[in-house]
Amino acid sequence: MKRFLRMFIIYPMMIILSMLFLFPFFWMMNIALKRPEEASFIIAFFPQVPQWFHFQQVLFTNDVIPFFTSLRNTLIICVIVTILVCLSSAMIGYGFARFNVPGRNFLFSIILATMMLPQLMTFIPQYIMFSQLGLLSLSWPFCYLPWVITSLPGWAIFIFYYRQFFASLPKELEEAALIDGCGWFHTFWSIFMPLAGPAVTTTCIFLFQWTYTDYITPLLYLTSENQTLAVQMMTNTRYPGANFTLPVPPVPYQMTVGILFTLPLIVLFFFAQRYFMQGLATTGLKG
Amino acid sequence: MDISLYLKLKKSKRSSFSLGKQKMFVFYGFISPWIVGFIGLLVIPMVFAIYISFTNFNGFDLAGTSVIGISNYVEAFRNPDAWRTMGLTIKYSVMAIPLGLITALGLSLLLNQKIKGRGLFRTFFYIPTLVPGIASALVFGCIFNVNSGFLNLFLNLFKLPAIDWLNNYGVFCLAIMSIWGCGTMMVIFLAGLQEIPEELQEAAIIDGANKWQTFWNVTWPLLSPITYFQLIMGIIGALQMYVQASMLSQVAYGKFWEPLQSLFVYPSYALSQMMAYQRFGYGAALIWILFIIILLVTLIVQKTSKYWVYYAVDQEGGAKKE
Repeated sequence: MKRFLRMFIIYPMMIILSMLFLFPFFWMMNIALKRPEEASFIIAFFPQVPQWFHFQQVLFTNDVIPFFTSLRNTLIICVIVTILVCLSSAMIGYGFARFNVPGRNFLFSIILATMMLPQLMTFIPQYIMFSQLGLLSLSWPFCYLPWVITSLPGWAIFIFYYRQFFASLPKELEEAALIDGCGWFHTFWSIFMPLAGPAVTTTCIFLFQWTYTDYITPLLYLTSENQTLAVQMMTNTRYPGANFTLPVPPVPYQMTVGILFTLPLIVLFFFAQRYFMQGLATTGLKG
Repeated sequence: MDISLYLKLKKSKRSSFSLGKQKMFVFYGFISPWIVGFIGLLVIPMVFAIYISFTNFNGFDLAGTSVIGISNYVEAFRNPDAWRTMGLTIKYSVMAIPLGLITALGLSLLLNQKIKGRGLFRTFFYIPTLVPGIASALVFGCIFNVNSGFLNLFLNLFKLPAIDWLNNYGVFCLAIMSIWGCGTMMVIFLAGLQEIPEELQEAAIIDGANKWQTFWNVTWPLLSPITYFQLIMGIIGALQMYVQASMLSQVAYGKFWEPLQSLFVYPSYALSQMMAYQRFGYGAALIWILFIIILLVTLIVQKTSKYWVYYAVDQEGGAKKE
């Protein structure tokens, strides 16, 4: 009886909640397939004729948006941030985990404090500094220099994450390595880093996701010709050709780009679901 | 003493460096990128930001800037726009933080039941957090849109008049948008729930506690450190929330730096003063005021934590644990 009751309360509840959470995805697709005037006025719930060619136009022509150029720019930033932050955070976290020297705890508490610092507080002063140094008006490959600079010191949350990870490994590891004449950095690189595989994967996934979806940093740091997909989609999407004279924003096209933009992250999630869940659980809990 | 450590000590005694000194050297070598970044990207820009908050800096002409004392701060307290936008930020926080926490906790409790298809449902609730903020602003813009939004299409079915959601209930729309992305919090709660030993709940049930009593006396106290962490993070996030508001405004009305009045939260006000009016000094002052407010609220919550957060281990001991 109890099981029966549970079946009849929990499952419908779960299904309704799931539908609520999945509804925006459905609506995204629905809008993307509408004609512009359908998307701008109350006409009907569903597109009268699904406009599948929107996807074709976005992907294979440059009439709507320079899709692949923008995607390339996004990916450049993602690669820079992911690799640099991952490596330097691991190195710094390793330092904090494996060297018991005076001043360590004090410095580590500063890192924890910066983790609590509102992002707005550091972001705007950094932006002012970069613009004063003239770093925001560089030409194509160099315009991504600010990301290199901000990535090199690692991110507090990942330093913390690696520190927890490296601190959990046995002490004998580096003693053995040092006795065998292995240098300090070599010990870190060829003994500890290979053991940190899962931590590295988790870090990389989150870094990639956050950088990929970032909107405000590229908006401030880049000029429109070097802009990332997230910003281009919002500011530079237009109707292909001059056939449309409607005074409405190109919402269906933006939505099409939005779907194509979201898709890689969802694919990534299905391949690396385990790392997402573990990473969230550990970074969240240990905080 | 370990033989290897002894050997190492002996070896290093012979060299001019002692092991302790060498270790110190290597430690600072490892963390040097952070130290450089901390000074160059955090301390210096922040000191600079404090300085410009006392000047009339316009964003590019540093030479023509003059120090004007605390008048930026005085203006921040006198300007009705600052008060209005701060009111909106507080309204948003009061709405979004509890709603988000309750939704996330509720979902995680549901998912913690032993039911079939748990993983699938977890994925459904988590997937929205993967959607880039701008795409999610786009779709919620389309749901709340006055002319073509889903909600108004729905009202139209029953011949009800359309409602201008974004203009009248902007903060509410933002809160709904933030709840859609509560999957991260849910997963953290779920991990916490799964760490609670089942024996404790079973023991409570054997002692005659009902479901509600078990939750309130066993699950909730054991979960409270996680709730506390999420609450602090939620406060910090909600008080400085502006990107979503600006994006929603951009989607609906094409204005990013100066959002729609109903979406004009305090950080947006600070940013619009900088980006749209080149008043960097005033904007920086506004941001510093926000910083102090966030700090105060966090401290107050921290002070209350001893009344409702339950720690199984002693805090001092826990912090020192390697």
